[in-house]
Amino acid sequence: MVATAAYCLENMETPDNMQQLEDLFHEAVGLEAQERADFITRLRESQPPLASAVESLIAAHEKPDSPIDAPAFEAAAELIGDAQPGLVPGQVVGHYEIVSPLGKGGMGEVYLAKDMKLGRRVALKLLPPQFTDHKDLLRRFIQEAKAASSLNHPNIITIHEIGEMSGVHFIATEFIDGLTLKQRIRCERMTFADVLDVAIQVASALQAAHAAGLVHRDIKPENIMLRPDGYVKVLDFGLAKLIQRSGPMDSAESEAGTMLRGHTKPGTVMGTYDYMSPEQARGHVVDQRTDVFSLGIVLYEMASGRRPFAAATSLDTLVSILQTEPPPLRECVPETPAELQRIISKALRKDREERYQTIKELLIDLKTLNEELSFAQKLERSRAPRSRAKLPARSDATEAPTAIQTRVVAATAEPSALKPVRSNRRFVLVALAALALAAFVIAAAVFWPRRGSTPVVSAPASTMNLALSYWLTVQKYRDGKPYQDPFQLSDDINFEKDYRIRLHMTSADNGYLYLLNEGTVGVDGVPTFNVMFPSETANNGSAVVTKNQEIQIPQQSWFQFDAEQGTEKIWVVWATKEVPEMEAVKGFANPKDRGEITSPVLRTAVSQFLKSHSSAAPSVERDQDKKQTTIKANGEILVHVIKLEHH
Amino acid sequence: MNESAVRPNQNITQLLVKWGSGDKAALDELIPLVYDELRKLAAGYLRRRSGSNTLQPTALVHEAYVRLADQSDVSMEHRAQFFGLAAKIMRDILVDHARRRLAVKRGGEQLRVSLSDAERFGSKPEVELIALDDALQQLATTNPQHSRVVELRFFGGLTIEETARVMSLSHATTERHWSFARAWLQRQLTA
Repeated sequence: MVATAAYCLENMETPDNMQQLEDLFHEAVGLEAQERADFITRLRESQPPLASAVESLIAAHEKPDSPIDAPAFEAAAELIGDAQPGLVPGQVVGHYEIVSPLGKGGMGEVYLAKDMKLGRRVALKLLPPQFTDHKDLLRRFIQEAKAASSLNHPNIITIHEIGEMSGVHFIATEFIDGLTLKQRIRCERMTFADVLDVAIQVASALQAAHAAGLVHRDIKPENIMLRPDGYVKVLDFGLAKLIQRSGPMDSAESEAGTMLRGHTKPGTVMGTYDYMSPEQARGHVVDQRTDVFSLGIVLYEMASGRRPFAAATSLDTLVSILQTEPPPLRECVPETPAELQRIISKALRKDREERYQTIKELLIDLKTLNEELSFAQKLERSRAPRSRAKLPARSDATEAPTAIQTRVVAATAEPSALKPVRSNRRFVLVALAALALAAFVIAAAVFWPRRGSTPVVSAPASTMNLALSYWLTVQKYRDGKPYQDPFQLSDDINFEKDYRIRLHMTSADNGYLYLLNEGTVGVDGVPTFNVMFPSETANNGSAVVTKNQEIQIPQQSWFQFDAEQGTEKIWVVWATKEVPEMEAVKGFANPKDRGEITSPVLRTAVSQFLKSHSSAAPSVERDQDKKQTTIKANGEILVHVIKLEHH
Repeated sequence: MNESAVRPNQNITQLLVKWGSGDKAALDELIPLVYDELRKLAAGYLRRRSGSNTLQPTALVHEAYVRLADQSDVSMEHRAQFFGLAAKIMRDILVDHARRRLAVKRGGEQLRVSLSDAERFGSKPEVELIALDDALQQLATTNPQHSRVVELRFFGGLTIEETARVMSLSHATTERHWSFARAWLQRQLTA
């Protein structure tokens, strides 16, 4: 009946009529209820069909919910979203029996299923039909997914089978009984150690994939599974590409055709916007560096619980990815290691040319930081609660302090075996930008062997738990210009006054390193000291030296002797733990104090510390092949003095 | 790969300019670009539905604009042009998709949406969308402007103000058109 009425109305609605109808409609809408009723009544007397039409339009107008009130997207979402029929437990797909649903993502439903042939549990993912329409793309996806799986990488999920059953494409993968990283992040804040552990495993997976020419393109916490045994698995290699390229339109469009047309080739729409790289957001061609960016976002989120670019709307998110610098992690997580911030910032550079160029570079930095971090934590655990190990950060500093002035004084804390030193000479440590000349003598604390002599060992090395090696680089100068190439020395020569030197230190173990230059004795009878390492500009102010890390002092320039003859004494403190006396004076290594410990109390404490520890002289070995000197000792702290004699 | 493959931004802005100056061929080039973009955006949106992201009404079209157009070009005229085009294309995409899906559900039979469909399938969005599209086509035969207003607002997610700008109508006229078309469609669809 209603349908018939509609039919009548349609028949009468010619353009002319429609204009009239609209005018009447607006007129009626503008009237009060009673007036409107009268209006319709009057109209019905002259034009009954028109009156009915106006009446029905008014009724429709007053209905609150028109299907067009909400924009089409809402409907569209519903429309395309529930493409999957849904499987129930017990249902069989191929040789898989559905056990239970695991989840539903945009890329299809996932079920826990049992492989009836092999008796094992698998995760079965059904691909929505709109993504599998396109045979070429599907074939390429299968290739890529299988290629990733066949890398046999411990952090890449293993695909058992990609198949089709009654037109439904499915992927059977190893079943991971764990959490997604997304769930994990929601649970509680992750420790930095966990953050790095997960990131390193993900980066390892990506490194292997990139090496095989595969870009993931959709790195996000949902695609990262955490197994209870600590293994991290990256899911869905290749899937992003399949989904971004395929769609309901023009199924005849071939990959080649797409490329020629040129605008769908640089695929655009990718996974969740929150983890997109700027080039993805722009729809440009992506390469492995897109994974670097996405992993950077994941790192940021793991460390802070926040997504750096997430915004209220997807458009805002896109704009944010393209334009906004994420707030520093320290704003919400003050204890964030500086190095972690640096790594994340470098991964999140908007210009991919400025990013880590390969995931391998990122991986190396993550591993280095992880070593430092676990070392610091180990120390923290082993230490008394009074001094907490700080999270170390690798130094990026480029400038050494300029012109640290020190004074040489008579030895106050030297082992008796030492040769007497020429006293009270000035030693100017000048930071110079480039090559320089110098002649130098190293007056080692214990012995004074001739060049080429065999190692002088004062205790069996096997019992030594502390060992630190050092050497010097010398640049000769003549007439104010660098002269000859710099060379390496393990020990003694007499330095000419215009030689310039650098000191290098390394150890096969992790440890804490401090270097002080002793100066003249003050009025209080205590020598002055200048902190040479660590400093704001050397190792980022951290005393932590990780195993095999090479410390160069100064980092960018050279030490220069002053004109007067004398012997510089450089105290080396190498310890398994933070040394409170040394930590207390680190802060003087700033441009203002030029490294000089200006506090009399601290100066005295340092002097006493060195005195008391240098009585147990370490063994000294000189390796003429490697041109380096190794000092060894037992215990927790090794103290040694390097003497640099100069004309 | 040609230059335009990696620099679609310049391309679309140029095309909008050409189209604006009456070059119909530019439109032929524009449509597939915008079509692809919106189609992909829609597919992307679907994947994200389960996530925390909620798509704002105008987001798809705005996003497509961000992706395709030169961001240094802030010309309102080009935006309006683009949104107008995008709304039309959005309609095509959604309706086409609805028709396909409904066809699949019904075992491939040709579509002719009737009242009984709504009963058979419940009030499925496919049915509603197709019915709306049919009704809009019908409206367009007598009132093309009204039909276009609905297209821009419903499929393009545009506001009255934006719609007015795209169609070069006054705000009041746009509002009147919308109000009438809405009532008319409502009546058609519930009839």
